[in-house]
Amino acid sequence: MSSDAPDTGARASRRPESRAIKVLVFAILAVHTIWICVHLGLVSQNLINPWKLGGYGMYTVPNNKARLHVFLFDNQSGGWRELAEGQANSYLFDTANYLHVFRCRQPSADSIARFFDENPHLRYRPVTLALSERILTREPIGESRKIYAKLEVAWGGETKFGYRGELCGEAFDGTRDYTPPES
Amino acid sequence: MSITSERSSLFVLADGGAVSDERLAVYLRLALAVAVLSVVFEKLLDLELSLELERYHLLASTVGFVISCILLPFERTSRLGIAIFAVSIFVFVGTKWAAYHNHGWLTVWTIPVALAFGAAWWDSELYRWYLRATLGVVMLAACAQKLLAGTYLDGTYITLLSTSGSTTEQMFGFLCGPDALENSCAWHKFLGTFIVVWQAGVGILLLAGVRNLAFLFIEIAFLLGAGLYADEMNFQVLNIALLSIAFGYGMRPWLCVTCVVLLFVDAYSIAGLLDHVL
Repeated sequence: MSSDAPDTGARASRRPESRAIKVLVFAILAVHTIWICVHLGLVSQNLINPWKLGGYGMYTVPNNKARLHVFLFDNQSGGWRELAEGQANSYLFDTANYLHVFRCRQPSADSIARFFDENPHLRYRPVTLALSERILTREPIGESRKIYAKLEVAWGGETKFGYRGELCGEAFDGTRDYTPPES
Repeated sequence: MSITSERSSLFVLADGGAVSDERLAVYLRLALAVAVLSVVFEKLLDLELSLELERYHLLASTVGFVISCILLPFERTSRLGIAIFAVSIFVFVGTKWAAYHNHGWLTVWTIPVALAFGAAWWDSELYRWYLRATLGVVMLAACAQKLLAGTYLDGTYITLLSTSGSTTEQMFGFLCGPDALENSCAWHKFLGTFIVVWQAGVGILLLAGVRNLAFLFIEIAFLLGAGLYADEMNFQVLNIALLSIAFGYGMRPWLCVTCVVLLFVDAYSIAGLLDHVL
């Protein structure tokens, strides 16, 4: 800390701080600095959105703005059909997964259940959920949206669903009992 | 270490000459009030969503920010203002931490800490040092992230903004032709490199304890330029307010008027105002 007089016209009194206050201030600064280093490490491994958790990496790459896509199995065509925007809500799913700030964190079973809480018209039907993010492209320089996670959900009756998916190259699966919320 | 230099007439003009201790204390408290005001403007934009989602605790916190802003400039109530701000911001962080960008987090690391320095926090040289160190570390962090992303030294990010950014972000598009999309031109590389070097330089100088007024004013000018470019004045006002405390300069009337005007500009966005005018 500088003890020289600042060249600012400031003449505020210089009362001494207690040792406890000094320790506290240095500790807060140290914690912040450590977090900045951790943040840098997580960004370098593409594990978090650089724009979040402090925003130190804002304006380095496009904000990934993760978006949920919902696909329904179409019995007539025998293939998957993506629902148009507005045909499914993802607010509860997104918030339960911390807005996908942690890119490679597997969606929790609870978050999938909350998705069906919010979308009663999709309950008991086989659906595939996919997450996309905006990425920087270099040839040519621009940005595009790319799917980076996929999750298939199948139902065993109306009280249980199973799911399996892949995120950041790692497969995961699980089952969960389901009781729809009282309307 | 402190670097001092002869003040040029421009800086003396901006400085407005020496001020009394009492007046300086007012300016320092006012600076923190403007920092909180920048948070108020940010949260006001969320009011409708909070109402829609029935997040009444966030509405209460927004009211807390407003009350904090009113209490902060006055000697007797300043510390209470900080306490109310601290409670309000932690309620917000607890609820919306995943959605927070840089603005909210910087206030978390800088403003509640003032509580530790007693009723006359503005007198604390340690608090000013803490602000300088925090802002210096954050500047270096931003610089390191840009180097890590590898999108500045080669001009990629400037080219990206120039071609697909918002209205103001495209201001440097004229420097390069359409071929820039395949390979950034020299001007965009220069701009990207300049931003990285600038952030590194400012971070180092802040950590080194430089408190020259020329440095403060140049940094304020750079922040305003960056705010104009990114169409994001709110965060710049927060930075300016915190720097003005860190430098022991405070929120002088000219700076206060500038910051408040910028907050209103930010509320409409520069792009929005330009679209309206044009």
